[in-house]
Amino acid sequence: MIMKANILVKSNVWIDKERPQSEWPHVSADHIPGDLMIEFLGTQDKRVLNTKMTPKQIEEYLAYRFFLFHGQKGLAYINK
Amino acid sequence: MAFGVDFETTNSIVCTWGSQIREAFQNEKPIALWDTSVIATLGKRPHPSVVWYAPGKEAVVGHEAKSRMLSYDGMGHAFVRSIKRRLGRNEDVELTGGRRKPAFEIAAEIFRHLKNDAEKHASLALLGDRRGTISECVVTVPVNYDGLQRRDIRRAMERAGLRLRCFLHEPFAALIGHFYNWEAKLQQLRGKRVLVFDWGGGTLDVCLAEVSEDGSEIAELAHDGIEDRAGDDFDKKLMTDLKLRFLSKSGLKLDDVPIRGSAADRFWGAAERAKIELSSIASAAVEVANFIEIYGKPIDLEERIEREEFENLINDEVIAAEACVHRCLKKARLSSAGLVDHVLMVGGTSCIPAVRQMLEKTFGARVAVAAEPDAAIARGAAIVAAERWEPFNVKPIAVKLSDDSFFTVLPAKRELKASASSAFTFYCIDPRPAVANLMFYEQAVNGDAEYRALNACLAVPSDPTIRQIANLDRIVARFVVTDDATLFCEAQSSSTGKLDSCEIYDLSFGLRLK
Repeated sequence: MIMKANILVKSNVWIDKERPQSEWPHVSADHIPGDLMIEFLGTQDKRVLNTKMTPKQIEEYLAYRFFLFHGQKGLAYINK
Repeated sequence: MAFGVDFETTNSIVCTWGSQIREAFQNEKPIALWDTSVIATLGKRPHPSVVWYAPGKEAVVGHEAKSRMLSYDGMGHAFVRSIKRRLGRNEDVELTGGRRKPAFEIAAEIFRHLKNDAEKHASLALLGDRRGTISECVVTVPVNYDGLQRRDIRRAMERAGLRLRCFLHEPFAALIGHFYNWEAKLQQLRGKRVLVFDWGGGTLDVCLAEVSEDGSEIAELAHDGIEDRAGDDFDKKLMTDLKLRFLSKSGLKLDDVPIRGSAADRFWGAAERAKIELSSIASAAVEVANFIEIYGKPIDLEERIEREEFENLINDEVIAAEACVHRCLKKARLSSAGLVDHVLMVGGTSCIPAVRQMLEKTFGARVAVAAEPDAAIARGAAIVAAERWEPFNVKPIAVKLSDDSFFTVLPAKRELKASASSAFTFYCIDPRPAVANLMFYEQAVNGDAEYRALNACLAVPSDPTIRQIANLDRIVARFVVTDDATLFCEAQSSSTGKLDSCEIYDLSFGLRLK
């Protein structure tokens, strides 16, 4: 049996390349992963998601939802 | 007058260069300050990096220490060799009688010896009062020498009263030492690529460098190295083989052969001598008197080894060296060895015929051995010191961002000497893993789109409960080029206040040829 590495360290940092010393975090909203962004927004209303999330984030969120069981809610609703 | 020091595992040497040398000696190249104590008997030889501690006496370094190590049998004497391999580990070296010394202090004895010898060297007598003292010099290091090891070298130099001007990679310095001409500098290499293969006692260092088309810069395209497969390791392989032969002949078991103290040192010396002889003759004798003592009776070791047998012993290492060369070509993104214009061999291990054959198989007739290979590296260092060529960073160092793009934290052409730090604010856009990962990459070739992962990463503890954009963790990262030509990286989380740091030493050197 050939053993393969099953760990992956992924970059989770982002910087405003135009203003690398900036203290304004909102510019990084577009880069927050979709499944986490849902928690930030606190809603699953499609109209809100379409305006507040990038196509990439929506894609990430849908991919995340795809793996949930029927009727199960996302992390956003666990604590509610 | 400027000085360059090649502090090596087995031998060390100082070279000097400058307008005074040029005028007084009409030399084309720097003067190598060979060990004067053996010029009459052994010829031009560098100083062995051996330190001898005798009870109640000052440390003795060089040929005297080495020759004593091979013949002396006194109690309470300690001989230290290959100290360069023990730098950067924050460890003490055990001498005799429970005495211990930090490795860098032993290295300082070698630097002190080199300094003292250079200051009164007979080769510079013609300069009279103008010769002065050595205070500052350029020092060479293996390509894989990390920040801690470089720091220990600097501490050793400071102990010896020397100030570091800058570090250079050993093969890069050898290239400059070999191709430099006092009038044309490195103009003969305009637009050319040179691969330097430096295999000495402690490390294998390979470097591929290119001189710009206009001749204004020389830069490393790639470098690679191996730390644990070099001349010293070959000595040990040879010793193991000889010891097994001795055991099979004498019918003794391995446990019966406690080779200690002076016999062990003499055995190492004899094996090293045989290894060197095998580069020029087909077979060599290894003789060690009083090799072991069985029930009070001394037994000598007398063996012969053929070149072919020795080359079989080191076959794995030669294959590893070949792989190292090909890695270097790959890192420089050269599709064929034909794109290299010259191949230069330096270091004692390069003299082994099988090593040269291995390189000729890849590069054909372009392989050349440096003239006076023992001094080529120090010559290059002395030239850089005299010409005041300042090293700069060749390949941009960048942090990988979450969208797989890169943000440059150390640009190309930035001088590699202690400078003001730069600070940037990153945002941890996914705090759930509880760490912010800053992963470092270098541009494979300057200006190219491809990046290569460096062996460096920061994991800054972050608050995993953050769920508001305004509270996103700011990771304030600071990057400083150190005195040791490394990049110190430190990042702190604004949410947890915790920080992580690392040091990137794998920077490629370039020089502006004024």
